[in-house]
Amino acid sequence: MFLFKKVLFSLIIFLGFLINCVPVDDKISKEDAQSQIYFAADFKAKKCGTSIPSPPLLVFTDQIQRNLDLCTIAITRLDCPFAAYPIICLGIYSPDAIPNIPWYIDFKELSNRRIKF
Amino acid sequence: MKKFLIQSLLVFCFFSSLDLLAVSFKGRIFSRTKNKGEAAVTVFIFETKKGYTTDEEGFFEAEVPTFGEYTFRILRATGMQEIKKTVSADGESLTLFTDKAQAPKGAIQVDGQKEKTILSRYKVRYDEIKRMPGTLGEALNAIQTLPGIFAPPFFGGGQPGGIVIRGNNPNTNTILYDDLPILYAYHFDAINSVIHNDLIKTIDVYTGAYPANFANATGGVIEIESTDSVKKATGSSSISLLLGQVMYQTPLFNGKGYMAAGGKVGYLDKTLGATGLIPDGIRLPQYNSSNVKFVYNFTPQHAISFTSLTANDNFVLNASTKKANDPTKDPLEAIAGASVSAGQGFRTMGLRYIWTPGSKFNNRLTLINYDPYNKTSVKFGSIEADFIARAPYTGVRQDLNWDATDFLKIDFGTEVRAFSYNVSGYSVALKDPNNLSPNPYRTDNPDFERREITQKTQLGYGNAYSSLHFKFGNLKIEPGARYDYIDSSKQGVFGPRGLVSYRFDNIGKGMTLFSGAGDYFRFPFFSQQPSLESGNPDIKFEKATKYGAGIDQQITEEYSIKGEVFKQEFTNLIVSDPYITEPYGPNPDKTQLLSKPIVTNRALNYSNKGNGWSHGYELYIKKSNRPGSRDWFGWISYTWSQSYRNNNIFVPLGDDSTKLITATEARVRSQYNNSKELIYEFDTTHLLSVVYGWRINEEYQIGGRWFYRSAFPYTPVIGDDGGQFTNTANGITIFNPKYSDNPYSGDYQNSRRAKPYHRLDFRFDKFLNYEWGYMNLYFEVLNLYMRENILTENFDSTKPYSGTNPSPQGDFYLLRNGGTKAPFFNIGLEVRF
Repeated sequence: MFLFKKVLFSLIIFLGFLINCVPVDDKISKEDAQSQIYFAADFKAKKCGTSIPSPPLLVFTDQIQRNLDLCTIAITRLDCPFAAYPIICLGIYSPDAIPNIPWYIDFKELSNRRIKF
Repeated sequence: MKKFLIQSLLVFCFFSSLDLLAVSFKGRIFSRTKNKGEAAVTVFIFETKKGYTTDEEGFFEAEVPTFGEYTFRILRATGMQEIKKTVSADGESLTLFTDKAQAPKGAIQVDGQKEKTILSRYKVRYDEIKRMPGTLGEALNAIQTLPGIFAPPFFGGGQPGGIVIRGNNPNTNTILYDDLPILYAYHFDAINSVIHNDLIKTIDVYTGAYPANFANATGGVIEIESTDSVKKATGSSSISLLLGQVMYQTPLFNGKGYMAAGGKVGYLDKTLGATGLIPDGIRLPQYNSSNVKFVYNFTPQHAISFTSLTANDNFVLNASTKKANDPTKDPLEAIAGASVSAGQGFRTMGLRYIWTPGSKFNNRLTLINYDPYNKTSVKFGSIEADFIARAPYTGVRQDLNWDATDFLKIDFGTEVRAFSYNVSGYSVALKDPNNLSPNPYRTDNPDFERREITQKTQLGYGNAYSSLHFKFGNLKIEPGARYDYIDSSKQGVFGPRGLVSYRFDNIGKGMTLFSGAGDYFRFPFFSQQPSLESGNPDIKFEKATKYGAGIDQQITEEYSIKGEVFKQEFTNLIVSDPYITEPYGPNPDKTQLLSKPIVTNRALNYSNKGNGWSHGYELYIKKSNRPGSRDWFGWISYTWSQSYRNNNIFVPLGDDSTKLITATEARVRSQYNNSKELIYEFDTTHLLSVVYGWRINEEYQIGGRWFYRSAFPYTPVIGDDGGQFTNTANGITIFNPKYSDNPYSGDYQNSRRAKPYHRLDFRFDKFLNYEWGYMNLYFEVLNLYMRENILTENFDSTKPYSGTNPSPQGDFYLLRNGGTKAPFFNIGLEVRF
């Protein structure tokens, strides 16, 4: 009886760990991602007194938060005129997270390298 | 995942260590009254059918096949005594106590407890809550499983560590430890209280109309009673990831007195702070607290006690101005350059003389010295404050209980206090308290203004109360009244209150119907609100009128059910008022002290214009167990309530909000009330707790708790200011959130709630019993089914408003590591000797 109880409780703990360590999907939905990019571009366009570059940056898949954030931060911080999107925004078409930006690469400079679709 | 599997296997192995060999142990038969072992008695272990005889010191050596609980039969010439005890380790020493210790001659014995009100009061015993799941080892956290009570979670959903009672602001509660004041119940980590667990005997929470002996609460009263007897010297120590705590208590003077002391030290900064998970620049809270009680009974009629309570907390943040190369790796980017240093604490000392000339009369005279303090130093854009505030008082309090006749008991008390409110430094305040989104980086017309608050104010306070308890058969009528007076503003408030109850003995084990009401008051003694320098010296007491009625049915000895409906009406609530002025007053700008000492239309900043109400009902079903027994216990509590407030301050709408107005226009505005009654920020519509605890045997205890509540209301962000300002420390554009200023919009203040919050917690305790005491190893899992509870929404001011900003702010009790999530867990060890 005592042994049974011990085993039972140990199993509860053991199963608790097994069941409760589960993978999660932290991606941002493509609609929300499109919204984030649009509002960043809208801010920069208003600040630079231009319109949002055409064609707009379109999102086709759910996004890794890091890639999306780097793109929108780069948009909000690039220098005027706002005629093209930062090259780092290509990350939103990558299935993998953009690796850490090494110390010798200046994010501001990176933001100002642009790509015109 | 692999790491978790290994950990799980270790835990599995630990708890299921199989016993292949017989277990031998040393037993002792011990008499507490004789204070020695019992020699030459036969001990028979029922399960093994083996008998042993004790030696001269009462010892015997025995063997059992496995660990577990056994029945020891002690055979004497006068008869047999049966004791159950658990053998939990090979070679362990077991002491079988054959009797209870007797109180020493001359000591006062308290056999019963003072009868307390049945209305809006819930009581929990220390043994019921000490090992409650989801409390992270903190007994005080367990009171939020009672009806109408909720403590906001870790750093979110309101002020950290506050206790919300029936939808009221936590600041409107009074918390007492043996009738002595404490400034705050929780340390800065919002989990651990300032009272040591082992020095708590019971906690009574008065959620509605409370008796006349309590004061200064329009919310509720939390009354913590300390240990009132110490029979033998014991101690405990425990450590966890958050803090370490120790306790020691011992009888003194041949049992005529005792001393109990406990202390806590928080070291989050050394544990969690050293993991690298906390951003650079944040120094997590450091804290300590101590509780000491000393009691000496001169004679059964005369006793003194001395109590000392202290607590200190501090927290530091220095956000670096250095930009991170990778902007996603800098969580403090928005507040770069900000520095915050906050500290608070209190010291309470109480010297009490208790006179008990007979069984029908008792008087307590208490000398109290209380010294709360608050230190704040902030620099963040246009927010600048640096001050130290203290509000010490010395007071004398007298409380008398007299059983005048068979049908009448009288409580009577008085108190006087000499207060001193001392502040040194300057503070900061919003220019417009209606501004929901003040911007600290705004430079053209700053949203914040500096206020000189240095002052030294003396004030006297006195009160008197009386309650009469009439009992005619099963009918109880308990009228009471209280008067509070402040000499500086020469204002006094009279609070009548009363309770009527009737008990039907023959319905189940007794059914009681009860109803009560009263007027209750609160004054902000430790606040700038009534300040002569920076507030309104004519500020009045806030008032609450409370009503309650209900039924308490004792179904069996163990099962009971209690239901109650309540209503609370609030008037004279103190609100920030940008319009209230006095014709002439001292210039708040001390730099003009000589050139312009008096100003006209001096702003008073606060008024008593607010009002509000709340109502609801509560249900409490409880299954008790006898203290110390192994029976299971538990309860279900449910509360439905609504809470509304209206500050009755003119709100400029549309273009009006940006117009500069003259003093005359401001005076006209102040007379016109266009504000709307709004859901109060602490409104929690549904609160449900299900609690279960079972001490299976001397080795194991399990417990579970399921908790459900409506989310707090919040004001949704509807846009941003277009990034008009930048943080000059790092040049980052700051997007200030925008909120609806239309009272008729669905996005107005407190119009939204997140999804309901619920979670299941589980706790497992293993006890290792030894002759010197025991060790308690516990393992606690919070949010077992990993609900993604949302507290509120969080706006990131480095990004424009969009579909992802604001984002939901999650609960602390869900651990995320890359692509996996796991429930929050806590492991602790308590050693008690």
